[in-house]
Amino acid sequence: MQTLDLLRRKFGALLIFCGTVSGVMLFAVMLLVVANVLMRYLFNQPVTGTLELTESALPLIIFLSLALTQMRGGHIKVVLLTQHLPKPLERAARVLAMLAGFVLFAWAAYAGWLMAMKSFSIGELERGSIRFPIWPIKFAIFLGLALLAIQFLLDAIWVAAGGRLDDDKHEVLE
Amino acid sequence: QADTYKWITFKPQGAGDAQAITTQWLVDEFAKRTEGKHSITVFWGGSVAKTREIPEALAAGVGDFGDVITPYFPDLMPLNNAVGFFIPQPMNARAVGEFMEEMHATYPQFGEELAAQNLHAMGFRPLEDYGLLCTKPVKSVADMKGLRIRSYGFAYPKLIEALGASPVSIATSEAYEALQRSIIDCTPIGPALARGWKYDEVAKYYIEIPLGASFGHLLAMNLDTYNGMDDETKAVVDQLGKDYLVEYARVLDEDAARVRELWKGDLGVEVIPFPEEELLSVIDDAGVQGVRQEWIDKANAAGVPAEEIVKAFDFK
Amino acid sequence: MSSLVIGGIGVAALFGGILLGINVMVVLGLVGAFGLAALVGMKAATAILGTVFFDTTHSFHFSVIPLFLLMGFFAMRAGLGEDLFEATTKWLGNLRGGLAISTTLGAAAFGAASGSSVGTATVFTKLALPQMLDRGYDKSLASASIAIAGTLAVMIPPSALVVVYGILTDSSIGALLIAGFIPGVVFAIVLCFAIWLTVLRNPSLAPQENYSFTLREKFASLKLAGPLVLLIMLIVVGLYVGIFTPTEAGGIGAFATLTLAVIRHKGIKGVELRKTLMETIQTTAMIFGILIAALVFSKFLALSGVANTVGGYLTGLDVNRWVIVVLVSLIYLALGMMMDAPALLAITLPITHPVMMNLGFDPIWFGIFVVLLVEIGAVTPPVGINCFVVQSASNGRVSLEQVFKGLVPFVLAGFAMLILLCLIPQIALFLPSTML
Ligand code: NA
Ligand code: NA
Repeated sequence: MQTLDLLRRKFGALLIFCGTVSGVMLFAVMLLVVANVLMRYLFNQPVTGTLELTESALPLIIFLSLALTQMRGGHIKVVLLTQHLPKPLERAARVLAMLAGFVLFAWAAYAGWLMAMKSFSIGELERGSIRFPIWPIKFAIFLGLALLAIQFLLDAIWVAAGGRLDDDKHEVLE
Repeated sequence: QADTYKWITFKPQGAGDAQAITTQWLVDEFAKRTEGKHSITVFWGGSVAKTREIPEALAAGVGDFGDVITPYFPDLMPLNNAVGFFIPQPMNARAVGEFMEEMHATYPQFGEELAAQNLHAMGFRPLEDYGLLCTKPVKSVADMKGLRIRSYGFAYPKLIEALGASPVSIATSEAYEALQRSIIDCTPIGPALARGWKYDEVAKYYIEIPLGASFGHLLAMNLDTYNGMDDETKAVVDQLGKDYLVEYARVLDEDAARVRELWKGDLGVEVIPFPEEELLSVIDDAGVQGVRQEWIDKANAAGVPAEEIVKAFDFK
Repeated sequence: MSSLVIGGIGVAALFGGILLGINVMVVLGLVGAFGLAALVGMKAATAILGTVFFDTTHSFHFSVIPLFLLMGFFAMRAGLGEDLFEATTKWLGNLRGGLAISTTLGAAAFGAASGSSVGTATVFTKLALPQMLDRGYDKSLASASIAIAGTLAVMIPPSALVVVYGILTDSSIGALLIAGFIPGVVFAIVLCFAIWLTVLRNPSLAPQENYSFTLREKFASLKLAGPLVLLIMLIVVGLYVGIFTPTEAGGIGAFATLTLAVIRHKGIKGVELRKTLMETIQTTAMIFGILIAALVFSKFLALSGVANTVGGYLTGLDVNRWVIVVLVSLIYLALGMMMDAPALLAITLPITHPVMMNLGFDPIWFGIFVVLLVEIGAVTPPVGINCFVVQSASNGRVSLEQVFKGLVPFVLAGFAMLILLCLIPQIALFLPSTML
């Protein structure tokens, strides 16, 4: 249990780091968008590549924070039936739910890996008013999906071993 | 046994344009020519796969037929994107379709490039001849200075820069509002598509700058599906692909003529001639040439005689 | 097994999984992916999973969502919510349910500008929900009024969804956008009326504050609310006049609220920039997680033919045209429970639009009618995206069940609005007719 807790904390630190990167990118996108509007009106000279950079930043912002959101209990679920179940059954339902998440995102990560490798092998480029390779974004998506799968697995083991999750605590507070 | 094939397309059925009408024509013809033995069910409007998902979805067998918007995949299928690297070029829509048929018939590399993705091209759908649709009149290259022109794909950015304008990347679905709000002044497009996307509601000047027709869409198939067909059905598909181009070009011409009539009437879109030589004078621009050279290098690497092929793109 | 049977099993599995407490994103994605595998094979399902994440998120258009979220979070840090509610309580405080009513009107104005149903719901959850709860409003009433008010964004122009309808049905987009204005405003008023009636029936849901304020105090409070009202005006005018796109409005709005927050806290430190950004990205991830999973499920449902079959059967009946209208509405309400809006339109319009045109209905009118149905679908369980967003942005102060429970009067208001549109089609058709 203690090892597991340590592992979860270490992994959590990694997710927070990824989330920080994501947050910084969002802030940068905001500045870029504002700069583009100002440049367009003040100097009739839009910032070259605003569209390409903005649209390529969005997958990074989303997928680098996906697992963090799960860790913090941010993904939505309904607790209509399970809250009335006896404790062991409720726990079994929770573990099942986490494992379902693991299966989906492990599958998605595998699919994402295939796509990223393909993009890399053909040297896929973003070709607009500026050019840059697209494959790093696809690898970041794979990374985000894989991190989420791992988080679901860690949570499943944690709950099975009798641990509590962040979102359980919310309900206790309520 | 009787088979029901799936056609996955981004095109909405209700669009009522040449693409949607002839897709339905093709599906009906297929049933007729196989004497009702086989049929195709169309999944319209991107409900199963959106534009950028179609090649992967098709290759993996989500559908059997589908429309691949070739210019979205310059790195995945560079050879089949030949026309897209050469804007402007002199061929009209029908000629571009015939050019693609000839390439596939002459150089096996064109088909092999698709086969490597588990795809097969059963037909070709070029886009109509393009000009510029603008919110203000443009009569010469001088008038273009400082205009914001919508750009997409890999050839337009450099061409627009060479014309002295600023390329602005805007998605097709966002161009309507962008024109309406003067975020862009012009977009390259043809009459039928301009009507289809309703851009002519908000931009009232059509500049006849001869950008040429572009390619366009592959009418693609899952290669396994194609190989799995009996010879009889295969022959129907092959012939249907050829007949499709004729039917499509006919409907497209009709459509363009109809739109131009509408423009003269209630829609009030003014068609403005543009001196061809002014456009041709920017082809030698280093940026434009750089894009062209990029294709030539890729084609040479793929083992086709690029210098020979690109003669088709010379203005006489 | 036939595709239809697989589709039916998938729908049952979706409901079952959600009731079991599996998170909604996972159920949608998992049922969708295994459903696709059952229909067209494992390899095909993997291909969809491989492309859908990138293709959905690699979009300039969708960047509007995190930017509006950021704007909402910064607005909260700047205390704009408190200020607005200081002002509204001074003006509407004596009216029972006044805060919920002013929230609805504010969200209508804000949503008009933003065009983002989800974004508006988030911003107003951040702005208005804590205020209402702190003043003793019922959790269900407070949260549900925000969830439904957010949907006004897709009807009042500008609206991306209306453009989607125009393209799918070959109708005039300009006319459609203008057509949405009056129905959007009327629906906002109908919603306010629903709040008023709800509170009238059960006064304990919303406390009445018995302060009396002088006119001078009332006008002084406007100065506090000024910055937010000014900001909304800036965005509305900027969008209408065409100074910027929705995404740009999001960026400018976020930057402006950040500036206000910095002024309020006399420096960047008090803004808690890092915490705000982290909250924003997590909400963003949650929204897109659901959006993408819903897309996977939509693809499965489309491919199974369930949607087409049900629609084709119902609309093919030989009965009075208003019976068909009711049946068409039921299709949208049923599918709207489970699907995201653009996919819903893409699947249904090819069937419903020709039928409605044959019956002699106006395409513009039908567009507004469908958008209203989609708005209702955005709040109905089990997949009520706006409710998810409100719950998520509430930081655990309300549960999903509470939000859904509070929606009953507003869904009824939606039905009333549908009937109103049928009785007086001019609500939608008046403005476009003046265009010509
Ligand atoms: Na709007
Ligand atoms: Na719903």
